[in-house]
Amino acid sequence: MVKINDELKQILDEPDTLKVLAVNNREGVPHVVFKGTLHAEDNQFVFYDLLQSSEINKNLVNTIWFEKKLAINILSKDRRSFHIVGTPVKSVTAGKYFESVYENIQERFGRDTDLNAIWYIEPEQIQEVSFAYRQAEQREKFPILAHLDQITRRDDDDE
Amino acid sequence: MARDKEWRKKEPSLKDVQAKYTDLPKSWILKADIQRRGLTYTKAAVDKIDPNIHVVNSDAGSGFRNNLDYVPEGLIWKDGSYLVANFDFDENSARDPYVIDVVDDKIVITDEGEIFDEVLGYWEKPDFYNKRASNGEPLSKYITSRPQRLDISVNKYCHFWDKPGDGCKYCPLTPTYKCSGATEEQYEHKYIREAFAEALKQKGRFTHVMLTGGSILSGKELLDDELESYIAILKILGEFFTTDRFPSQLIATAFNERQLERLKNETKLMTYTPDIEVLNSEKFDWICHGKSREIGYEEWKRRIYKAVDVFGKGNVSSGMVLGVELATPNGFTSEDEAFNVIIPEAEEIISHGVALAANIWRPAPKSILQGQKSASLDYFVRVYREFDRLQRKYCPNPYTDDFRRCGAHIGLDLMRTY
Ligand code: SF4
Repeated sequence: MVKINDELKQILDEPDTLKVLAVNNREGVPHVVFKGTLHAEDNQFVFYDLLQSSEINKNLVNTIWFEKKLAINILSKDRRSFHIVGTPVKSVTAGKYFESVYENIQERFGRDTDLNAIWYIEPEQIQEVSFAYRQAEQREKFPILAHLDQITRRDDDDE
Repeated sequence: MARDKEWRKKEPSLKDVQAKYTDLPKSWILKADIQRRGLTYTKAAVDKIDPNIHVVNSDAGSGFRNNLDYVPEGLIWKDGSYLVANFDFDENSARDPYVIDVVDDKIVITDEGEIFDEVLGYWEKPDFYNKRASNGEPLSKYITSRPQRLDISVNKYCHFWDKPGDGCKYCPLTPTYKCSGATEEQYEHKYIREAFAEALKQKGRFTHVMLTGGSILSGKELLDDELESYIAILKILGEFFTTDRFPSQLIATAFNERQLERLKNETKLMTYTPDIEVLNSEKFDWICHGKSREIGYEEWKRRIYKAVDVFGKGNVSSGMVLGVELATPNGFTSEDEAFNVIIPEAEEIISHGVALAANIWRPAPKSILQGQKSASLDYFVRVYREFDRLQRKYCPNPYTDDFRRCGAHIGLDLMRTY
């Protein structure tokens, strides 16, 4: 199993970080949604689904039922981006732990906010996909990928 | 019935059925098979119970079982659904039960030593189970609980049993009541109120209240006394809520229009479930003879549709005991015949927006049909799959009587992706 490193955990906890999940529905159509509560616990991604009728909840149920995969992208304030592939491994919908999260959600978002489920996602692949990082990686691994004018000697190049 | 040691060779296995219906979740098919075959716990699995946390059969009685063993009332599935297992399984049932065991510190479901799945744990006990009513009795005597539902069993005795041959032949409620030596058909409402008030203090636990009970035929009109009992309790419960209606369900006998209007207008009830039980007029007449004689199959259906007019589409479901149509001696003689008869009937009912809350028939100890053999797993899965197709087409509210509110009739678990 791949590890969620401390740097990524820290990025996840920063308030300006954007976190997006992509999960296919029953027909295989992807649904993409931002999830502010996504964070890491131990070595799993965890998020709180607040509406039982949400599209993502239905799609996650379908995903766990048929042992399929989902994707997550995390974009930090300084535009570092991480692509994650994972599988939902459990959904907690009741019990003392659920109740403690429920109370916490109400404190954060107000008394009329409900909690549907706590979803746990196990990562199978974590990859930094920030543009600068990927550009350097591509140049290194596949030097064939470039428009020639980018590597053509220019007049103002140093001799 | 003595167990046929060769039973595995005579029907498709769990794996066969899982391989055949690849459009249905494997873990869900396993759940169906556990409900069909039953389960037992190893000592290691029982040792995983923490009596301060988990709810066990001995914590609270149920009208539908005698079992007060120190075993979990139910299991929690990885997908967040529940396996309701708090009923009496026939110890000498036609097939071997699954075994809940512990391997590598995980609670697992096994059969013949093979692990089929892992469960997240056992149901937790609600806080009010540790409290007592003002008369000193435990509050769990008056209201029981599932992971997210409060259950109020209003009448412990069913008056269809007053007349020999009229009680539903699969039903253990009244035989269990008689065996327990109980004489109090209903509890004093003040204790139900006390239990309810205490239960509501637990934040984030309950999403639903379910009332049910045995039928009461007496009154000015048939069932009027039953109606009065439910209205009285629903009024008490309604006082606790600020809204016009609250998430609630009444599973009761099929009331007529006048009675339905009263139920709607005098209470804050949200959903209603008059159980049709058997999807064929002739088999209904044999299996639920009292219901058939007093109300009749066609009239029962008509009342379900009237209930849709009164409570609104999506707020009415109907329960059934799936598989009992194959009971001997008067049931269908083949699963194919049963399938071909009940599916068109199901479509007629479901097309009114009425989801079928179909429980898997386990010939319950003490019921008239005890000791019989239930249908194959393939039959249950094939029927549920068809119901699901119809419900996806016709049912506008996939949350009525769903996995979260009930969890016993697992066909409606499939509504989670509607
Ligand atoms: S009506 Fe039938 S199913 Fe309901 S309690 Fe009476 S005997 Fe049991």
